[in-house]
Amino acid sequence: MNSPAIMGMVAGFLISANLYAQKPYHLTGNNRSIKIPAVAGGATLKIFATDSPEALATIPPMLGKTEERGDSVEFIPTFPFRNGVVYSVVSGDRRWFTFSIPLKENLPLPKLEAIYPTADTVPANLLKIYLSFSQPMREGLAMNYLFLLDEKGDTLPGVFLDLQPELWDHSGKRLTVWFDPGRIKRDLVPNQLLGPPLNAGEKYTLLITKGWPDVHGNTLPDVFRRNITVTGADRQSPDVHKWKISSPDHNGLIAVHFGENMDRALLDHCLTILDTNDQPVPGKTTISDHESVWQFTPDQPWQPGMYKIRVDARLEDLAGNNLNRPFDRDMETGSQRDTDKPWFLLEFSIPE
Amino acid sequence: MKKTISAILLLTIFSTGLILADSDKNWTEGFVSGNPEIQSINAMAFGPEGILFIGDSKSAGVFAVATDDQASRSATEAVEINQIDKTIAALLGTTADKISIQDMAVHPASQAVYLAVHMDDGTPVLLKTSGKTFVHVPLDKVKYSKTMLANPVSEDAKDRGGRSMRQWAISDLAFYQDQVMVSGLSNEEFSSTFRSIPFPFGKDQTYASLEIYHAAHGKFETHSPIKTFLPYELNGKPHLIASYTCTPLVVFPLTEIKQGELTKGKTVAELGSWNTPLDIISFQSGEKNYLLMANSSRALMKIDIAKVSEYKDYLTTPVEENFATAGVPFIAMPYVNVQQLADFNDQYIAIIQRKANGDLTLMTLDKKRL
Repeated sequence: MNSPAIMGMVAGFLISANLYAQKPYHLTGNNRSIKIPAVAGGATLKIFATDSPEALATIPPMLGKTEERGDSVEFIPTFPFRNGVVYSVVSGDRRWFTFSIPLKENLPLPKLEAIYPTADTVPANLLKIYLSFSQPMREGLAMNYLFLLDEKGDTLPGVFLDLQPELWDHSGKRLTVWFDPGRIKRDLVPNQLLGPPLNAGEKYTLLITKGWPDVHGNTLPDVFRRNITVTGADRQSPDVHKWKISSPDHNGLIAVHFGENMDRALLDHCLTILDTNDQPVPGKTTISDHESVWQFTPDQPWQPGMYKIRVDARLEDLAGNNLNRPFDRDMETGSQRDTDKPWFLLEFSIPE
Repeated sequence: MKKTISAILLLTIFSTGLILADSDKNWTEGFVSGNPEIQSINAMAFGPEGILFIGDSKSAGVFAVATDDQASRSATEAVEINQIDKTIAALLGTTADKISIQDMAVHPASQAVYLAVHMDDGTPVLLKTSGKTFVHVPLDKVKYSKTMLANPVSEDAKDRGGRSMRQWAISDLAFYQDQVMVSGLSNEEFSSTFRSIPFPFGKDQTYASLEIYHAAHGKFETHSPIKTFLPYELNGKPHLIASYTCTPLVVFPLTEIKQGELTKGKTVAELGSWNTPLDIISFQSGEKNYLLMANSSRALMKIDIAKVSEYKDYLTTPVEENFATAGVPFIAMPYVNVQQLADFNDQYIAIIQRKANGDLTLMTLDKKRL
């Protein structure tokens, strides 16, 4: 940029402008409005979201309205000016200057805080992973930054389901990614032709490359790698009767040991402790041991008596087997019958 | 228990729906004026009297918004607008890499093409065609009604802002026989949920919700989520033609839903690997009716609906090793990278296609030539 630049500061927003006119103009504004000296085209001015003179002829001007304010004109865009985009102020066929609102500084860079499952050993029919970020991320770009590599370091194509829109939670910080269910489900064409995405006995690397932008345009600064080892497929529904419930420790903490790693997201709300009146017992939960243990500490000390743990049947293990049915049931062998219960109950007692 | 009630309701709804369809309903009953505060637009469909149904995953609701478009163009006029992503981005004051087109619907009276766009910060924007460009359709002052899809579950995990992390992402939406039909994917459990909501939306917010599963070659069953669907009358009965995230095309009758049971769909085709179905519509050409499917990594597919009606098997035989697809035959059309489909009018369908030169183009295709 060789053009002379001016800066204006209003309401904490910094605007930089590059002039194509003879004398400097004072620009004031923010993302929602900009005041431009009336000499620059008056109310007929238009604003284009480009710094390229050639592009001006090929794109329409930005939606918005102009209002005359004495010696200046205020342009109020229908959608706020975007930080980092360069805008051209044009009147007739004359481009007066460009301006931009710099990217928001002082915002922390996004971080990948966790990948679930956290274990480095997973079943061959692992169904989904969760990526948990520190900031709301831009949607629709996951497949540009998430890769599965084989032992040689080659990228494996067609492993994840390219789902649009992507499955982000409300905060925009947690993304759910499915391994292609058509390859996991036995006997579907993709499964027969390509095999499952993960093969038992092999090692892989989950790679998240840097550059993934958050909603402010800041990007992931670091590469993230997770080495995973694949064991045999898990085709059994979790069996609540095989779970172990530990007695309360000196803090009142009890633990449910599943004997296998479970889906992290569902663990957050699929288990509830009920008192003798079937009322939920308030308390705090934590998840440990690679999502194989659910721990609960009641807010008030335990009272002697019988308690129940109500387990929502939607709870899944890592292979998408829930308490009612496995991910894909073999109807010929019929080794496991589906149930259709909304929840399962486990009992435990607190002695006098 | 809830499931049982829902299934009974659905039976009632569909049987009465068949009789009541096209009656003199006051479609805007219960509409209010104001800002519906739509947080996202994931799926759209037009209903009677130009009412636009908007599926909003972020607020877990379906909105019915009145539009007052009048007939404005000749029915034989084709449409072709190039570089729509650049045009739309410019109107919104951003760049093409920072917007995504979520869905497309064609207004039945004006034939204006409505596009739902999300900006990079998630802001939803509704636009419609006007000549060779687009105009903004503001949603802050409209006549609307809404229905919420999910009862907040108090035990759900919350983020630091107190919002549930569990989300029901709307994958498709249609209006059929006085019902707004919605399919959705959960961002947590792997299951298939399909809901049918009577319209105009009632105060009691009751609606049918059911699970649908399908089998591969009669051997393995899965409750896989529906990506896109089409309500359609097959052999004189209302059916749902649904395409799943794991490739099968599944058909099930809407009238045969048994009380308290899960519904098993009939798998009529598998449409290839490494592929996610994006959109499905039907159209008539001459005497024949066809399905048209857009896919993430396969060409536009045309399927003769008569073949779907006639199809009796459940894909019971294993697929030969060298075949990539199975079931009812389809024709791969010479249109790749088609992202959106909509029925335009009697003569045309509308598509959004990423061309080989990188341009994103909105264009109409003549049904007679498809």
